[in-house]
Order: sequence, then structure tokens, then C-alpha cells
Amino acid sequence: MTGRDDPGRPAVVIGVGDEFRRDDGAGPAVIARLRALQPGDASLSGVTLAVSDGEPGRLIDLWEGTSLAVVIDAVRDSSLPPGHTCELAADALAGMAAGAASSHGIGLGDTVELARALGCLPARLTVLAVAGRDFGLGAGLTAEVAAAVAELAEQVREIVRSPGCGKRLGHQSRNGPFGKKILKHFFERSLGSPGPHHPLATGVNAPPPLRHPPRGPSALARRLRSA
Amino acid sequence: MSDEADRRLTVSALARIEGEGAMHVRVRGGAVEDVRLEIYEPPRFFEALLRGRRHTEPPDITARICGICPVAYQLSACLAIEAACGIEVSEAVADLRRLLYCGEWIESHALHIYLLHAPDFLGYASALDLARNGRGTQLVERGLKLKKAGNAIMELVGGRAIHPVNVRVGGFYRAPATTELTALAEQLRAALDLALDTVTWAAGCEFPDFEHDHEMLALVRPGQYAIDRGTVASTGGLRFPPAEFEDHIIEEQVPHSTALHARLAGRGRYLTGPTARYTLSSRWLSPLARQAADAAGLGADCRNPFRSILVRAVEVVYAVEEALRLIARYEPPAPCYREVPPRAAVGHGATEAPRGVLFHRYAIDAEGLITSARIVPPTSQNQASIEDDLRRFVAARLDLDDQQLTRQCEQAIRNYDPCISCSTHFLDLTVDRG
Repeated sequence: MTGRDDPGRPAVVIGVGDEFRRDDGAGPAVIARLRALQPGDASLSGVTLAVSDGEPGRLIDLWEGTSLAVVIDAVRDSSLPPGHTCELAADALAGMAAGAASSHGIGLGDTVELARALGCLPARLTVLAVAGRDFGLGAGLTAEVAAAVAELAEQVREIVRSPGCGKRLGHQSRNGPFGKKILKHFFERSLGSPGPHHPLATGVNAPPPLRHPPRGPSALARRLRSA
Repeated sequence: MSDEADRRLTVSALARIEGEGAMHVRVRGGAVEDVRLEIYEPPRFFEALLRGRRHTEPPDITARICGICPVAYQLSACLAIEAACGIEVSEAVADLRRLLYCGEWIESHALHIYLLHAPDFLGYASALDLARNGRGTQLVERGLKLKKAGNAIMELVGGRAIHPVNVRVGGFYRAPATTELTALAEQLRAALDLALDTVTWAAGCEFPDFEHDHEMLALVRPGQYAIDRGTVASTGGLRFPPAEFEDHIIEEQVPHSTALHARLAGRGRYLTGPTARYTLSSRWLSPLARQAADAAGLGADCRNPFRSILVRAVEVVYAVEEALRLIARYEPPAPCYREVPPRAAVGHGATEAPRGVLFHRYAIDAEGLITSARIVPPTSQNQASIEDDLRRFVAARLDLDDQQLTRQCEQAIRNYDPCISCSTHFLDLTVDRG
């Protein structure tokens, strides 16, 4: 994995999701539980606990330069029982970027790949996924997902206690392997149902070679500033 | 080369735009027969759900229309409600609003320039592909840093980077401390160099030889590049206050779009957005932004939509400089808001969202409940002009093969940075079953 291991920044745990879209709020719910535990839990001491909407720039800001990042996110897959959890390492995400058509559909897979290209991945990145049942409007998790919150919080505590836990490879899961189907859904976090005219293929053709490479730094800036 | 007389170009899901839309072009007998920018994202009925809500609620409710330009919605709503209630905020509050709006311009323009539009000019399918290229990496990094500077303004002044929570009718819930803004200025000074580098890079792009003849419409405010308020003006000589917006702008449904099309009454299609702002107000840019525009080869006006990336880059320079200027003279407004007691009235407000003029109108009753609302976002205003651009653009390039032509048409749409989520919230739906 490429990434900057900056011992100056400790581990970060990020709950991705929207608490007003029912089970999409699983990540923030785990963070809320960890915040309640943090004062009396030495393993969480110094760990940054954060909630994110998943916007790539802000997500990268949160994990860049950390030694370990744990991301908790809800996934949608009707073939899996709600509340089912799984752990993935960043290397398992390679090649799973959806290449979202709309900027509204940029998912975690795209963000991980963008961070990888920019050299902004944390030294280790682990993703905890939980299958949701209801992603409709409103606050509150379904009972199955709410029941998984404690388990997910415990998984986080284990991971931050044992740094090696974040180095799992491939699609391995504590609760058995997820199929590719769920991974596909996982990286298309757009919550609305795709319309009948909304194939994921964009019709964008293979690009021609780079024509205008970026130029040297601040040529115009220097010129204008010296004027 | 393509010598087919009958061709159909379809992009079912346009890439690198905000929201979900499609494009259809039909060529028959060697001539462009039909062009449609299809917006199929479902309507969201914001104007309907505002009815019956308190007059203090639209800034928070309408901010949810868009995650890219929530400040535009909040401040157009504030202006409209304050106008209805006969309240004017202090200049100090107006300045703080303008600072917040600068943050949104920086964030939105940086996103569009680097993550959505740059891949077109450099020949990549996505920002991710661009970032994977050795030389493109620094471009994407610069874009993210610039965007972060805009985010920082939004977080400090607005309370958070998207859907800010610190804006209220009459002002702000909390005014930031001077020391907080001083720290922000450090970040913005670095961002100014990034913004100037952006102009340098954009000036080196190749722009297709294409000009439109649309009437252009933007807010103007002599002495200042209009952002947070102004009078509506057009290149055709129109000039009217936001209160007369609905006398001049007609919205209509078209079968292929869930967003309304707008036209100027008795005149037809028009264009709003960065190139319209620049054409109508470039004289009011700051000296540095003006110099950057000159050095980049922008003249007094801009009618080539492909050069909109250059105008956005200049506007980022302006927004960063303007933010620094506002911070330099900042004194926390006290109080940071005025009470806005309701009265039965109608109020109008318009501001310059990153993508163009955003108009709000609210009617409220004596109890402060909203009885009707109307929101006219920039993308719906621009749909007819985008389609006209495509029509003319395709007609002049029928010798290109379908792949090349389709790719260039997508780029032509992205020139306008369409925000489809903003555009799809009309109220009335007519089903023709004839």
C-alpha cells in the first residue's frame, strides 16, 4: 500500500453516513458509541473520532498522514441479512472504484483510489461495512443494524488495540467473505434508486493522450506579484 | 470522418456533472434535427414543502437543495424574507455573508475546474484517471487544496462545510472572532498563489473556436463584482430589481426535462453564470484578478463557453482576494443578527450562485407562515442555451465520428457546470394524455 506513515498523527476512526437516512447512519452511530466509551477506555485514548458525509476531499483530509484509519460505512445489498458486518482492508478496494457518472455518486472506492493516486492514504486503512435494510428518509436505525453497532464498536477497539489487524488482505471478512455484489453496492453510495435511463456506463470514450501537461509553479503568480 | 446523413448520439448518464442527466442529439439528412438535454432526476417539490413553514425556516430547508451551493440558497432566501419583512441587515453582517459566499465560490469552482472539467481539456475520462497520471497528480492536488481553502471559510463562518448551520434570517447565530479569521487568512494567502497558478494552467488549454449569441444575464452592483446582492442586468440592456424578476423571466415545462426551461419575456433564451457575470462586471474585478484575466487572454467579455473554465479560475482569484480584504477589515458585527418580525407581504431575493443567478420569492402571512414559494435556479435558466450551443456545435462538426463528437458534446455541456439537483424542484406537473 502506498501511503504516508506519519507517527505524529495517531489513528482516526471515521463513521461515514447520514443519520437522517435511517441505516446510513450506522457509521455515525458507532462513532457516538465510541465517544461515550472513550473517556474510560485506554485503547481509544488519543484516537480521533470523526463523522463524515463521505465527500472525498474531507475524507482524505481526515485520514491523510495517520498511522491507521478505520472507516465504518453502511452498505446496501438485499441478499445479505441486515446487520451483517464485514471487515475489509484498503488493498481489497483496488479496482473497485465505480467511476461514478455524477459527482453525487462518488463513493468510498473512488475516494480510496484517488487518495492512493495522490499518495494520501493512511499507513493502514481498514473498512468495517454493515449491511443496512432501510435507507429511506428519517432518523433511527432499524433494529438489526442498531444491534450491530455495539459489535462494530468492539471491532474498532480491537483494531486500534492490535495494529496488525488492519493489514488483512483481499476480501477476507470476520463473518465470511462478502460477494462482489455487495462490494459493487458499497462503492455506489448514491442513495436514490437509479432511474431507468441511468446505466452506470457513461459512454465516455477512451481519452486521447495528455495535450497540456501542468506547467511550472506560480509563473503567473510570480509575474503578477512582482508587478 | 463520418459521412452518415442520419445519426443518433446518446449519452444516457452524463459524467462529471452535479446530478443525473442525459443528452440526445439526432441528425437527419445531414442536418441537426433535434437536441435535448434530458434531466430525469426526479422533481423534489421544495416549493411545495415550504408552504406552511415559518418564515425563519427557508435558509435551512432550501440549503438542502444542493450540497455544492447551499450558501446561495440560504442567502437568496434571507434576502427575500428580509425584503418581505422590510428589514435590512447591517453592512457588517452583509460583509460576513459575502465572505461566506466567497468560500462557496472557491469550493464550487475548484471542484468544477479540477475534478469535473480539467479531464476534458487534458483528455482523461475522470479526475481519478487524471490523478493517476504523473503530471496530472499535481493538478488534482492543487484543486483539492484550493477547495479546502473554500471549505475552511464555510466551516468557520457557516458552521460546517456543507449545509451551513450558522446562517439565519436577519444575520448569523454567531459571529466568528477576529483571531479565528486571522488564522484563516494565513490559509487564504497560500490559496491565492494556487488560484493564480490555476489561471496560468487554464490559459494553456486549447479552446474550440466557438461563440454563442445568447443574451447574458447577471446581477450587477457598480463598484463591486456582484456576488451576494445586486440589480439584474443583461447584455441586451435590461436592468431591473429582483422584485421584477418574474415580470421578465418566464418558466415553461418541456417534455424531456423535470426542470423548467426559462426564457426572457419577449426575447427568448438567455444565459446566466460565470461568463455572464464576467461580461457584465469584469470592470469591477480587483486589480490582481483583472491582471490575471488580461494575462490569460480574456478580453472585456467572454462568449466562448469553453473558456468558462478560465473565467472560473479568475473568479477564484477574485474570491480569495475578496475574502482576504473582508477579513482584513473585519470587526465582529454586534449584534450579529436583527430580529425579523413577520408581516403579510411578498419578498424577492437574488444572489449569484457559482452557476449563476438564483432567485427566490416568498409570500408570507401575518403570522409568519409561508403561503407560496418560488425558486429559479441557474441550471434551469441555462437549459435552452445549452441545447442551442449543442445544436450549433454539432452542426459545425458533423465530419467528426460519433465517439469524438459525443465526447465534445459532453464537454460542451460541462462548460456550464450544470447542477441538475438544483434544477429539479418545480411545483406543477402537467401530464398530457391527449
